[in-house]
Amino acid sequence: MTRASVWLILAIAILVAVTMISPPYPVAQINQPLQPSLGQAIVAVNNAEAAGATANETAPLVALLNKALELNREASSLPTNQTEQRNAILSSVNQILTNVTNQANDLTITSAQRTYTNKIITYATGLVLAVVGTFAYVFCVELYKRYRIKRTFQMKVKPT
Amino acid sequence: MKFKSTQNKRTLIAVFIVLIVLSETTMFLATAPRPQERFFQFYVLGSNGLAADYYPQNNPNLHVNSPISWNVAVTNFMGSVQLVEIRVKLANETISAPDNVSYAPSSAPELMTFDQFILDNGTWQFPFVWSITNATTAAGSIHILRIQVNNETYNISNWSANNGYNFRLILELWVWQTNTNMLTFGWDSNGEHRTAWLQLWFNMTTPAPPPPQA
Repeated sequence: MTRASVWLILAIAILVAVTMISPPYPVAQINQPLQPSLGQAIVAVNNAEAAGATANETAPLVALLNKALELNREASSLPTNQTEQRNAILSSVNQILTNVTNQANDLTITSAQRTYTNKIITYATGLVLAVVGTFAYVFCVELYKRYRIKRTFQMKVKPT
Repeated sequence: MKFKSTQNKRTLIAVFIVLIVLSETTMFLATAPRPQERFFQFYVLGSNGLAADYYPQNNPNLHVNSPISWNVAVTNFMGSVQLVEIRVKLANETISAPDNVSYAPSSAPELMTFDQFILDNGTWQFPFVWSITNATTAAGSIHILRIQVNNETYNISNWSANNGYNFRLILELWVWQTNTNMLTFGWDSNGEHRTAWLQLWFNMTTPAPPPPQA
């Protein structure tokens, strides 16, 4: 009985592991040699966006990435005997992808710094508002006290 | 303004703490990114840029060399730059369509692919002008042999439909997955996998174009 349950748990564990390792949906590979550099470039651009880069800042990088795709298509459409030309194009594609990765990494640093500064400014503004609010409270309390004192001294005693 | 009593000082500190909590919470809520649903919009429009007039005179019964003009578009709402690929497949009635449950793409032969990087909230739209340039009739079936898309010709190995009815073009949206470095049919959003695909049906009962009217 114990053995059966152990085997069952083992089978479930293997199934779960296999499901986690291999995605349950079909995948396809874009031009095999380009894959690592293309993946790196996309991750670098996504990191820049996550660090706070705006669409205006990432647009030139996306334009370069699309240029790389276009060149890749051009290389794929070449006849098989034009190996030299294909390699030359693929080399320039790799160069573009490397440039994009480097630019995206720089953008990540500047965007992260800007986001950090903006955060500091935002929370400092909150602090200043709290200080101003406290002074306003004190001022209002003081005004109210003076008003009450003034009212007290303005009171008339009516003889009964 | 002097605070003479300890009670007044305590009140002041309490007011300051309450105000600082309120203002910082407001600042956090105002600047924190709101969670949003991540998805793609994928659509085909007719020649006028509307979801209509997909075929000349709204007649899906096509002939050889009758050009069809569509606009294919993808809008990215994934919150980041995405690499997408559109796979165009030619199918008939019997071939399986993509499955939204098992995330399996159609088993129809792939004609061509279009790929592009799209900015967040960006739309990629391109013209898709196609025509069947060669087809034959054999044993009650119409066989499509050649198709032209955006001035590129694609030879098809004998793809047929019974009496020429119910051919279809299937367009599937494949998305680059950064964790696997591969294109996947569909995308992941909030722990779920989603797919997007389109199909447009047409007939070709008589390959030869009708004779011009006198």
